[in-house]
Amino acid sequence: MTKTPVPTLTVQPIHFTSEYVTWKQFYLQLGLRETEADDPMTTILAADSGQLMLGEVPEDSHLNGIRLVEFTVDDLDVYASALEAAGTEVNRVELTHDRNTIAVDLPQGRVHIGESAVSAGTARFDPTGLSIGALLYTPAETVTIGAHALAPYGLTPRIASNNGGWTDLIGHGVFAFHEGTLRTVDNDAPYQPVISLFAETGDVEKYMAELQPRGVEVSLIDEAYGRTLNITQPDGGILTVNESQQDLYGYHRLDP
Amino acid sequence: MSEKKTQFNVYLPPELVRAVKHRCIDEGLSLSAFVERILTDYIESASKEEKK
Repeated sequence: MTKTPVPTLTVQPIHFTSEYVTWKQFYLQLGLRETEADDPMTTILAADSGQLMLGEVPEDSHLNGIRLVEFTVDDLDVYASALEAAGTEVNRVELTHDRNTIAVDLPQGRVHIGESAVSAGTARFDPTGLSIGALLYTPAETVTIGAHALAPYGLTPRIASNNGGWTDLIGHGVFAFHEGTLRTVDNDAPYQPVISLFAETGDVEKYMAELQPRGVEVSLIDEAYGRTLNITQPDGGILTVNESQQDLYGYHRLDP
Repeated sequence: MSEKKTQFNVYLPPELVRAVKHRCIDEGLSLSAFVERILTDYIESASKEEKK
């Protein structure tokens, strides 16, 4: 009997904000697309690969300005069966509003996998388009073990740095563990890792040329590992869009 | 040096850019931190030489 492959996860960062309209406009300027999951307080925007959930919270909420991450699949029962067949732990947890999820306890805290509300953004990572993702800063000694803990749930480890400070995984969207300071908040679970939003595309110059006429403040920066676009956010912070890595000096591929 | 950073664009041979980036990775430094250190060291040593 052949095992059913574990379905690929869609990476869905969640951005909580009291400035909902401003941020929605910003993300649309970046080229994210509206989906059928759209109401005055919660919306899911889709990249070519990966999704972003934007949720409105009161200004004094402890989540205001925080970005978390969750993952989605088309059918949670089918997904759970595939995990069990693969020998991967399935910890079903019901969240508020009767949301059924599977909880995954990473060394960095708990993340949840739920059923997808929309199909947009559920294409496989492809450098010819824009992939959105989550960047999880965590102490160096937990970068690799975090990736090992998450991968069996439906993401493919892709590139790691030789010094252990970076490992990324791809699926529908991209997810990266990066050496840094871990921060967690209490939301659906007591410890949930705070993430940074980032994106990746194969041609940053082409994407930059698309952004500038839309009034997006963007600059192209050289980094040791490649090039990146620094996009100024509504709060003055920087959103990075990495160019798909071509020169793997100091890095190595993990995917076949 | 001031903590405020400003972008500084220069044109360099691609081979040098590649070698500089590789050196940054070997030393575990960001490109900005590496270039800042090299330029600061050079400016300081050149100033000392002039005073001799």
